[in-house]
Amino acid sequence: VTDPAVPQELFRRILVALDVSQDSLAALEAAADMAASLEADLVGLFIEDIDLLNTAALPFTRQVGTISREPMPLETADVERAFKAQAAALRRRLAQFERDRRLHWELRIERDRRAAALAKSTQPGDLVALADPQRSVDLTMFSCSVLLLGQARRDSAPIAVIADGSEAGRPALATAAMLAARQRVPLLVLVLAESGAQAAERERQTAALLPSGLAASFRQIAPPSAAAVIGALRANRAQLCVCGGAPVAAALGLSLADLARGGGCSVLDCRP
Amino acid sequence: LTAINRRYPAVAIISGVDPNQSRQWPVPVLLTAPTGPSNAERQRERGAGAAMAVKPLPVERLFHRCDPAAFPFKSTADLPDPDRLPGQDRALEAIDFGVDIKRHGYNLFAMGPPGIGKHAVVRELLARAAARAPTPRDLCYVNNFADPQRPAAMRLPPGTAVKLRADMAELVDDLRTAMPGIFEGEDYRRRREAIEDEFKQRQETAFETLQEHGKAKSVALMRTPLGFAFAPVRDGSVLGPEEFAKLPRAEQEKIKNDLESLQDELQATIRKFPEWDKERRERLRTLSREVTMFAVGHVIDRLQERYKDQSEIVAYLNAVETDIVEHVDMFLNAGPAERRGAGPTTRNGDPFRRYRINVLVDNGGQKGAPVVYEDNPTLANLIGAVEHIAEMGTLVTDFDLIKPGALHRANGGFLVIDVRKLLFQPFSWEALKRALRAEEIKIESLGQMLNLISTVSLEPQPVAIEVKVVLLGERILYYLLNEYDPDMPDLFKVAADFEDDMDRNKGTVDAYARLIAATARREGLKPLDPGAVARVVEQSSRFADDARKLSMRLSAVADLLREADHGCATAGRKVIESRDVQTAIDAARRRQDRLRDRMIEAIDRDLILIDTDGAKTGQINGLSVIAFGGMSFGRPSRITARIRLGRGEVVDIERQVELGGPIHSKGVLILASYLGARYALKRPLSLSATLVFEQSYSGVEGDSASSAELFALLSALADLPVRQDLAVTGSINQHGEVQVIGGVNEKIEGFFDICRRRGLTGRQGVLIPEGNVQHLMLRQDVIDAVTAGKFQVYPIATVDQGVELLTGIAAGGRDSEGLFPDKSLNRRVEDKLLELAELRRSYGAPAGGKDDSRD
Repeated sequence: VTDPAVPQELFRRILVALDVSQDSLAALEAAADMAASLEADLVGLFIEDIDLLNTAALPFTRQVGTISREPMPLETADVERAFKAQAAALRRRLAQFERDRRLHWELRIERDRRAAALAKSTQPGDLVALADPQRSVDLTMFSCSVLLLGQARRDSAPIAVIADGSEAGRPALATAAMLAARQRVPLLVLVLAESGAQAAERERQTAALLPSGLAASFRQIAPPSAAAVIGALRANRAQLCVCGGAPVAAALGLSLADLARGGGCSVLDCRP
Repeated sequence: LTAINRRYPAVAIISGVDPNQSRQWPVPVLLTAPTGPSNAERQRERGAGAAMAVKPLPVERLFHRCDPAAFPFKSTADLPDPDRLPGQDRALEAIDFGVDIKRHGYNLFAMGPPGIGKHAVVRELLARAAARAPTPRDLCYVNNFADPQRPAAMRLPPGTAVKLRADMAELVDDLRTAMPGIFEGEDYRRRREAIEDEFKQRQETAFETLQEHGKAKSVALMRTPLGFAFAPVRDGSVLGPEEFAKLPRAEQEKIKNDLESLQDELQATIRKFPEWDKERRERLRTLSREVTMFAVGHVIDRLQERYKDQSEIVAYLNAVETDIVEHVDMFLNAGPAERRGAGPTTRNGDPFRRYRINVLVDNGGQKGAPVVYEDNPTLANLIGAVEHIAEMGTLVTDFDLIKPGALHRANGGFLVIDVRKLLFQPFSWEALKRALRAEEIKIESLGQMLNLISTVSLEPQPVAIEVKVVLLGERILYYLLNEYDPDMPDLFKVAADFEDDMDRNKGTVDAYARLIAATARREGLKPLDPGAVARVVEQSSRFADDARKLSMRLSAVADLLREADHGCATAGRKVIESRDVQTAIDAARRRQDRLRDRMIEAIDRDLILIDTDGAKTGQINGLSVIAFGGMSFGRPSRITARIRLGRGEVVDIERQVELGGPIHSKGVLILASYLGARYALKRPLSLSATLVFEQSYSGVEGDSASSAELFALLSALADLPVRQDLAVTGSINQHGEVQVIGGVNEKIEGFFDICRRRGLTGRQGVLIPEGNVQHLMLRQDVIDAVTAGKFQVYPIATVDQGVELLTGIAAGGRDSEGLFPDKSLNRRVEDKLLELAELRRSYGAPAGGKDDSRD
């Protein structure tokens, strides 16, 4: 990447938030892929959710099983057992990643509320991977980059990046370009601008920042439109959309979680 | 008679009683008739007694020469092939009939001894008939998509099955290449994603609604280890038990009620998920079908157009189309068909096996009907088999592992099987009958039939057959099968009975010459000149053991021709001559003569005692034939007889020690009967005679020595020596007539060989039944000796002729008073028997054995 404003080491750690839900293993898998691509350490943050323990401690709460579809007691002991089992499974999986992908890993177990645990565990330079984008998470609480894991795509699918001309967009472009180069997949640049002329200029500037030899295509979206961005992501079956976070969300009038859901891909909110 | 005497003590008036016998009764007896033989008996006695002096056979009767000058050709190259096999008209007509008649059960059984040319003749006739018949349809098995355990059979026009196989392989290849592209295409992807998104959205909306409802009641939707739960929230956190306990009771109750109603709502929502999922899968499947039909439809349509006249194929292609739509994932996951034609080795390794065409019978290159000869008619080779392959430690199979049997290949034509080989194979005979009876081939393995294997196997659709089966074998097998197998007469109604030989006359010899010419051409041998053909004809009569016949053992004739050709080639000649044939005959004999030489050597060294000169009482040279391993030779045997006083028994020592066969025993019993009837008609036969083949240590069978045994016995009774320079063969009947025997040539030659080794005296010879003269085809050296007067062959018709030759004493017939002439041999025999009877009576013993009680 030719942009001197972008650090060469993008993320030191990738921290993935895990819980007892069945999505956690898939999230861990996706985070491991990302860590392998970016040569970052992988940290599994298993949150023993106090809210869930409190729920189980209430004498009248019942859980409805997704398989049985029947209400059944929710006991604290059951939840504690589930925590232990899940932690063990995650540890085994991480050890497997170490063998298969030579990843450095760590599993942290925090008994706390989800948001608080995440806030405590992250630091600038991290990338936080969150599964289940529909669950409301206040992304502003993070001082680091955030990866919202969406629908899994095949490895050869392109990586998209939203170039909005903001400062935040520069590390996003650098990250996307690096990921595309390492995964040997095409880069799709979605250029947001208020006018066609601005879009053309922005595309030119963006292209100049990309390393030579990288297969990149451009799509100008002027004026910025959430539907157009989502349509482009879907049409190109992008596996990941990298963007500069809040400015993009503001420009599109769309939360990043909705972008991930609408585009059918993961979204990486890249912060300097 | 004893009863009459007791009842009427004064006098008895009876007829036909021996005067000597009447002496034993205590009352006077009036005899009303002469006590001699009856008129008929006297007539036969006169005939027998008036034995004509037997003359040795003239040399021309010892060998039926074939005159080469009678042949109008220079060599067999000038002769055309015979139109039909000569001498086998009956069998050929039967085969023609069997081939022509198109009715159930009219299969053929061609019978005759081995080497007679049944195979070649049957094949030739069948090939001619097959060439006129229409070419049968191909046979293939295809997957039965509705029930893969029962593969479907298709009968298609000749050559179609192979084309269909190629077309189906191409279709699969095309689809393997095209399908992934279609399913990865934008159109399909968008439609699929639309469906997925719709249902995902439906679920998310449902959860969002629940979350909204919960939020309105300060309740959060929580993920739990097994599903979802609602929990009361205050300030963004779930209330703990202590916090909850601090709430006013009314609020607690409200929260409980809210949770309960939300829980009901959650349950109702989650219960919809499987239904939605099912709906989603169904819509995806419908989409998949639509896209597949688009991809497959035009390819299948093209094939259906190509095979529109074949309703079976059209129906099959419809089934294929449906199946491809149902199994489209196979095409999407398989990848491109790089290894076209090679095919994976395992069943599961290639999911596209289900669309293969297993061609069992391809009649594409067939002209007319097939003629199949099954040399190894095992059950599997006959009716086909379902093979298995090992896969993951188990045996599996499918329709592509069905293998055809001979019946499949011969369907619409002819199947030729050697019945002996068929009967040697377990279950094959029954399977063949089953197929012929049901007129269909049902492939069943032995494992299935006997429940030996428990793996899942196939039940291929039976195939209707229209086949003419021709069994080849010996007569005994035909007769045994007819006798013991009730199915045989129903299934093999036409018997083609091949002759062992044919008459020898001008016409047949000419036909035989053409047969020899055809054989030489077929075998790639040099042509034969007339002399060689004549010699082959003569040897053929020798093969037939009959100077008036020609052998139909064509394999032996072909062997002779090949060996003569070899000798001719070695000598550097271009045409086979008589001497080549003779050399071949001599060489063949020489190769086989080791045992005969050992036997002659043993006689030479007096290890086996055979006299060839002088005369001895009660001793005679009999002749037997030793046959094994396709060769035979004559062997002289010393037969001796001893007599003493007894009860009329003639003891066959061979039988006593169980070395004599039943026919030999029968001959001895006949001679005993002859003895009693001729010489002791009116008195008890009061001798005990023993007969033995000296130095015989193995079984003796046949009655050809019965005349020799009788001559030895008569010699002993008459106390007259028998010439040892003569040997005898011939069986006798109860009237003293000498009857034909087998192997006459070998027997004469066997004795001749011994005599020649010791020096021919001019008095040596062999007595043979007169009826056997027509069978004489003696070796040239025997004929030469006879021509030179050094050896003789005497034909005899009666016992009296034989004894006169052997003893030099006239046999003598009964005169008008029933008495034999003085000093005649028969008189001496009768006197001896009378003497023994008197002697026996003088001992006061009851006359005779069991039979005597009736005298």
